[in-house]
Amino acid sequence: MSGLAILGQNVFSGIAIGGVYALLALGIALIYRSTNVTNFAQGDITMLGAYALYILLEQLGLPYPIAFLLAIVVMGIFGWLFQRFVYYPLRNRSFLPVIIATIGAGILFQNVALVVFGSIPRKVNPVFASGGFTVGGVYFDLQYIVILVVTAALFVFQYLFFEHTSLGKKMQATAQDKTMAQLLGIPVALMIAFTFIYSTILGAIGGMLVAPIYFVTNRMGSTLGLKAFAACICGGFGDVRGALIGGIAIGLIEALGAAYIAPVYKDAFPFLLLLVFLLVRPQGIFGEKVSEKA
Amino acid sequence: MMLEMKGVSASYDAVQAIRDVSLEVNEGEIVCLIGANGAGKSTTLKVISGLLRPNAGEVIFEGKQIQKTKPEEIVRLGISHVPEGRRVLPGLTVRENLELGASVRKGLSKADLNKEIEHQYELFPDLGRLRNALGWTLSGGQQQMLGIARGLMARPKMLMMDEPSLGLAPIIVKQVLETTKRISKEFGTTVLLVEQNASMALSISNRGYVMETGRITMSGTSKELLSNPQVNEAYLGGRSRKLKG
Amino acid sequence: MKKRVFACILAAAMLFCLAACGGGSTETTSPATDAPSTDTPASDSDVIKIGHIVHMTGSAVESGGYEKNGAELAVEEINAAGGVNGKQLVLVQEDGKSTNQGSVAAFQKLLEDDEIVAVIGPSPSTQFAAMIPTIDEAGIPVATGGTNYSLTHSDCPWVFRFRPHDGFSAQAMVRYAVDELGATKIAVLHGSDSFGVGGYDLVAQYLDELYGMEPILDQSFNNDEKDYTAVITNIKESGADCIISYMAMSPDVGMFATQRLQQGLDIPWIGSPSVTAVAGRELAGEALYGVYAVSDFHVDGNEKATAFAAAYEEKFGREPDFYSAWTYDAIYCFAEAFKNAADLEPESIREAILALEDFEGVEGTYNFDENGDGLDAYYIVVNNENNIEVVTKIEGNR
Repeated sequence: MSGLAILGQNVFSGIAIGGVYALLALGIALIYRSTNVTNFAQGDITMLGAYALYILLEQLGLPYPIAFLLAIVVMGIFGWLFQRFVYYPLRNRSFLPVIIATIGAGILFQNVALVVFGSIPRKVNPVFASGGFTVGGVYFDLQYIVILVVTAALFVFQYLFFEHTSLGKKMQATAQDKTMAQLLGIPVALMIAFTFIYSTILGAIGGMLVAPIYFVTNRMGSTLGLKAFAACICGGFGDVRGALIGGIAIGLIEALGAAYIAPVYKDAFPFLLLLVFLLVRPQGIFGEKVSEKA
Repeated sequence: MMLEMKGVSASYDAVQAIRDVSLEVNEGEIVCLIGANGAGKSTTLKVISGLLRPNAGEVIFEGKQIQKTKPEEIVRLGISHVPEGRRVLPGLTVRENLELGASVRKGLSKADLNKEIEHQYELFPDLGRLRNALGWTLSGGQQQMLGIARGLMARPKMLMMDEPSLGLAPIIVKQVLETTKRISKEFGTTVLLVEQNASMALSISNRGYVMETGRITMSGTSKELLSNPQVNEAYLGGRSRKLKG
Repeated sequence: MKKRVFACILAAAMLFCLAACGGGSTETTSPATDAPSTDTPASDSDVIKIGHIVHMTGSAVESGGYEKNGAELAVEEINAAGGVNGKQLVLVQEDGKSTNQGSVAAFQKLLEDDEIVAVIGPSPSTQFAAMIPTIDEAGIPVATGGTNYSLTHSDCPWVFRFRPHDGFSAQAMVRYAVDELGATKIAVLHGSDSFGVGGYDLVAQYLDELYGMEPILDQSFNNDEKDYTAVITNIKESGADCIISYMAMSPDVGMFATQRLQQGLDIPWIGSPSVTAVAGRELAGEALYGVYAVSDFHVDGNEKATAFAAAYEEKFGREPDFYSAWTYDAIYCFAEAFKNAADLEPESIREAILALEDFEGVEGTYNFDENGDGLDAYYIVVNNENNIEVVTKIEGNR
């Protein structure tokens, strides 16, 4: 295997997994922007998304597109319930109680999943049964390609939706100044609910995308979630571009670190990058535009 | 009568902010609320726009009690509140800020929206020039203009402005207040103006109320208040006397 | 300022979460594990209690379930046949939580019960190793299914192993790889835990002792790894012609097996017993076809194994694997020792275990040496379209 092929293989898998981190990070960023709260349950929401797909696809035997869409609907409803019972009762408190509530919710989700599904990993089939193809010594797994395509599509959707629709702008307004948004007649509580629903769906999609690669276990979300937080901080907390760039940077650094230094330290590289950012540029790559407000 | 407050009291947590406030605003009037910092002027506006729920009293808008209505619904009734500190949405452009101002108006066509935005650009030429700039890049005066223009986009029956002169150079304050007067005439919009700069406020308004430590202590036509020695002493720094003399 | 405080809180929260995930497990409490559960209500004088540390929560729950089932089945059979010297066996289970601290704490809790005369420990070598100082202090016979060589070679006379240790599995793998598969460039893939690292050392040792060769690659990874791209590219680049693996977790086996084939790494692979575990095979499916493994347990290995497999499947609805086999054997060996011992003092039980001769278990024939090792032979098996078939049996040099 040539050196170039090795590099290519690891860059490919790094970017693909980074795409999943980016989706989760985007969900975290959107909630942070609209509520100033960091949702530490995002990783475990990912896990629930993967289980939702597992039930619909493998247990009920629905075709992939239907299972996928249905899982999104179910997780959207779950996102609403999550904000209603975890965020909403604490919305007028400082951010700390809410953050602790999200951590608690995450632990609860993990344990409920353990009770319901047990600890035996569940297998979810990939979108395309045929696996993948090899070009120039680099194996392109179709599931990884699916991850890349879906991630790219969601970020394009994100851009179009937030910049070019009235609802998107109202959600932005809510994120930037809740009081002013109310005075403009924007139903703020509804916008926040939308944000949670959308972020939950993003996390769930991330889980469904990695389910065939990772297998589904009740603990699959914890490392994913932590890396997504690292991606958020490196990219600039609350920044959409930051979530994308940060996610891919984390994916790449762990893939390349594993390949060229040692796989044993794989999980350490992202946090090393995180530490460097916290020390040198705590506001992340893109800083925090919203913090400019008086 | 457009708006009436009857014996309204409100507090932040345990701190009483306004006490037994009663006032009236008639259609087409410019009414100002003057007083020192912390007198309860802004709180009064917050109670009207629904941001703060009063613990006692009634707020009646066009014959309907609104003291328990949510802020987003009060906007729809026709009260537009331009809060203190401008509150321009920092991450949205001037144009997007204006579009959101009109978001309460159902059935407004895209063409009409554009026409009205163009009209705001005529009223505030700076905004037209900076239509694609993000909110936070604007200067203080431009943000104030944007705040007012955005408030007008809702086509309110009543526009409430909180300290539009705060932090602005005197020449811009003058410009802002003149525009306010023009708006009132042109659209027939009722204006409730809160100001620390009493002489400016009284110079453009029909009537005024004076607030002190959460209560209304004086009221009258602007002319009466301008010539009232107490008002003169407390809020006009005795300048009007000199002017008269 | 506010942002900095926030960053610090975030960092602290992350540390907290990392710590919680450390050791590949999350601290979880599962229902009905806090209180020791006793199987049969009987008056104190009529029973003999055996403690069992079972991982009921955390990452080793799967293997823990098999271990629990195996021990319960043995106790049930023995009691149904009249017990030991007229006394019923009682299993006292305690959650080891898949962690070192959890296992030591569970053991200490079991020691509180004076009536417990012997204990069955958890399989993962790492956790058992953590328990050894406490075992030594307590002076009570403890069974292990961990295969790390050092467990029975750390001057603690109370450890009895019911599976052949990794020295034998390493020998068996090395011999089969070189003699039968003609391998000359062997890559060793192993977890970064004590099981994996110990396994690597033994493969290197026997490659050198038996053939004067060296592994061409020492490739370690962390348990719970999800993406083996780097591992696979490293093996490819090394030019290896055979993989010998020590992987502790079934999902890891499943994932590596699948990704290895996708990325076109199809050299022969001989793995430690986890490669034949049911959970891994369910996940990997075809990706494990044709893969060799050493195995200390096989349903067709002897008559007892076949009968055990049938009983197990009837009771639990699944095929047993080595995890259930060794706890099953441990209970039977303990029972035999209780029968033969002068009394139920720890020293007497220890001597009775060491005195067992050619004791037939489902794993094989037990003869304990003074280190406490009961078995020395491994099967080489192959996954033939999801049927695990015996290729040969290799006896180790003690």
